[in-house]
Amino acid sequence: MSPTMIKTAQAEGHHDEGSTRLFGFWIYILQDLFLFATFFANFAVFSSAYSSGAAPKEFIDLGFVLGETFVLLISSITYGFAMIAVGKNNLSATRLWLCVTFLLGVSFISMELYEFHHLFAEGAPYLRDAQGNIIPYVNGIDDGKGGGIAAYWSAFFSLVGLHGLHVTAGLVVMVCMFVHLGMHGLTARNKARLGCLSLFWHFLDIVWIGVFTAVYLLGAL
Amino acid sequence: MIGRIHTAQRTHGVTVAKYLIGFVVSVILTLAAFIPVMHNWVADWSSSAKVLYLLGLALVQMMVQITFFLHLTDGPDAKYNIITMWAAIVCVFIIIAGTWWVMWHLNYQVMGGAGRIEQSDVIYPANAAPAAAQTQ
Repeated sequence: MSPTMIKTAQAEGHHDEGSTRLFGFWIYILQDLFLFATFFANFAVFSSAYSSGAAPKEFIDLGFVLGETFVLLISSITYGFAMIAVGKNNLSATRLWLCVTFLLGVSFISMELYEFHHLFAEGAPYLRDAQGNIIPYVNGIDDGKGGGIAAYWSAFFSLVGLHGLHVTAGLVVMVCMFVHLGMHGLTARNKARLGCLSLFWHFLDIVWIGVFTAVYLLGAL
Repeated sequence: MIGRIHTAQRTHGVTVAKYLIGFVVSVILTLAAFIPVMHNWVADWSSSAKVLYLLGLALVQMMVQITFFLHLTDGPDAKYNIITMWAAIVCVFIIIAGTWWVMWHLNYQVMGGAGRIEQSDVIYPANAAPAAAQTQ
């Protein structure tokens, strides 16, 4: 095929199956962004509604969050290296970088789960009485497990947890990609799938910028 | 055949250098946001200056990652990628800023003494009078 023919194909706006899938997936990402926007709006409205519960400032460990941020950022660039390997049709390098990305994603989720567990163990989300003791009633119903949760902490776990659920979904898809690559190698369809996952993974890193700024940095001021 | 050459051309723009630049700039912007807050360097700033500084850094880093990691301008759908992205950004702005604006006003006007506003100048116009006199 001559260069002129390639140019003509591009000028006609030629769409192969992969690029159509990628555009469709981009539309999905943008509507997923609306979901995150509603959770961010919810968090902004309740950002000082901790009522008689603890203020976030006492519990936010910025060093730990910085660690989480770097794990996610590095996983973003290792996925980029995987996509470069895809472009070079190098299956083993693709697998290697995907593997590194997967392990970093698992570390991020583990850190987040540890943080959530730590917050509940410290009793951060619960409403307290004047002496600082956790109030054992929720709307007059004693469930025997502890008190009500302040609106702030509800919004906190919704927003951070929604992002964590998305990362977990990305990890599940990554496991599926290992199976696809093992069965068929770097076919056009698998390349399109990896391209979609690439958009998803980088999108999650971009959303995390919003999360660490709105939730952790502004919360620690 | 056309598809294969096309794919090869599209991935041509994806280079190690582009990812590394995006990564290094992101690291710098992340540290620029975290370190001043962690070491309390911004303690003397007004709260609106702190919020503007942090939100500004976040917006810049989002733009950097969109530019260097997402590769929206590669491929045949570049124009539609960008158009749909801006449409979504406008919607996101309306959702977040609109919600915050409406809820702030509801809190201010409706909650009266029970909400975060201790004394509303709508209910107690006398409180607003000195401030109004100063501005005149």
